[in-house]
Amino acid sequence: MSDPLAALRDARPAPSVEHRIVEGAMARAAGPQRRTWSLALAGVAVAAAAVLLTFALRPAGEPPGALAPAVDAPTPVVRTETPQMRYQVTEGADAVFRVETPVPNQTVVHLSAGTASFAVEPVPPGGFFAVETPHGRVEVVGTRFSVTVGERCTRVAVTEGKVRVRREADAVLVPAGETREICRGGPAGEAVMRAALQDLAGGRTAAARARLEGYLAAWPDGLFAEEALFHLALLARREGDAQAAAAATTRYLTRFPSGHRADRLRAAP
Amino acid sequence: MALDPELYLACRSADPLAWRRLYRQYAGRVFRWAVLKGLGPADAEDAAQEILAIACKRFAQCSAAAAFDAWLYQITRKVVANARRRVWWRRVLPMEQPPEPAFVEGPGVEVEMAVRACLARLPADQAEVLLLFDVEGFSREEVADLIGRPPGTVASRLRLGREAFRRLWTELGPAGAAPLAVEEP
Repeated sequence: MSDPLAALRDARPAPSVEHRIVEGAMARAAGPQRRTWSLALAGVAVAAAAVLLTFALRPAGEPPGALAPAVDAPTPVVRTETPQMRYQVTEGADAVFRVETPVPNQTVVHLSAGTASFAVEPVPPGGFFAVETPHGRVEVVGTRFSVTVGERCTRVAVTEGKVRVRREADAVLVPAGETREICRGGPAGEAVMRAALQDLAGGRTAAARARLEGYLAAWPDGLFAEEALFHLALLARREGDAQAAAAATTRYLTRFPSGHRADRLRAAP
Repeated sequence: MALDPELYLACRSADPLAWRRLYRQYAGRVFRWAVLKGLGPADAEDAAQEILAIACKRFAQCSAAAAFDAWLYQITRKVVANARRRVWWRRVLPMEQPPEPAFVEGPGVEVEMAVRACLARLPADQAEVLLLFDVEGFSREEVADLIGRPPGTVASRLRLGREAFRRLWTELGPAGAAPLAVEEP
């Protein structure tokens, strides 16, 4: 062994360890940061103070836990304004929803049917505003948007700003002017996309193209429609087929003119 | 292996599939850094998760794909330093486990354990330069950037570190190991 240090250059842990690192990092990145015990104690103290303040400021007669608007409120517009968060919900005639506010800067609207529109001020750090439907979750970054729950899918249309549409571990950002659907067949669609990306990484371009086109045919407004169109455009460029590349780029830009990959496609030769 | 610019851009757009790809690419490397900077396998696994999660949350601070490795290493330095402080406190309790191997791919258990033992006995600044230069293959200038010291200081630490490592290797290296023959930078 002339150079034991260099021999460690390719040293790797067991695949199971790598897997745990990846999944653990995904979970930590998605969730709140871990705190030391002293910070946790400080957090508990702040939360306790917030709870006491909430109770102290509640009008007489209002039931506990009613900081958020009432369930299935009869009025068409629900407004909430707290020091932590401001939002407005406009419910359609068929909307069935309830609002939960577990802590003052976190709001979850459970929309089980119909259409509701939302206007939300930028969410403060550490807080969130989300709409849960039977098919997935829409997380707000600070925007105007509407959510329609159908039998098989939830459709999200963004008017202003952007929202994050999530289904289990996967999520995409939807910018203004665009719509996305989360459907019951979501995991199947995700599996198709994953397989397509693996094909791309492995150089199996024909299989990748077939899967990407298959995804778009089955889920034209699916969570990964933008990514599928983007990779089709890249694939055509990589293969040197200028005509197909131009067509795929046009297809992407027509469908997602303000998509977050649009600039990259416009800039590329 | 630097970060692919396309993957960098996809991560900037908060694409979860891209982040998963990045994590897969870097999980082994960050774990290796943590182990060779003195953590045991369990602590290194925990630190690697934390490092990658921090990278995701603060990715806006990373200016370019080419700068990602150096930026990630800076996070690693801080997280591992914190973890080592926690480990140090644990050492006052009579619960310390014997060292265990961390890698399944590499030069073998004997060499791995001997290298880790030698690095652990070196001054930290010398061990870090050996890790970056001899293990990770960074150039002297890159190492200087990574640790925020002039190239001359890097060369000095490298020379001292290699001399000390050679002495330790003679004492602690696996039985029958040949004398080291490493080149000067």
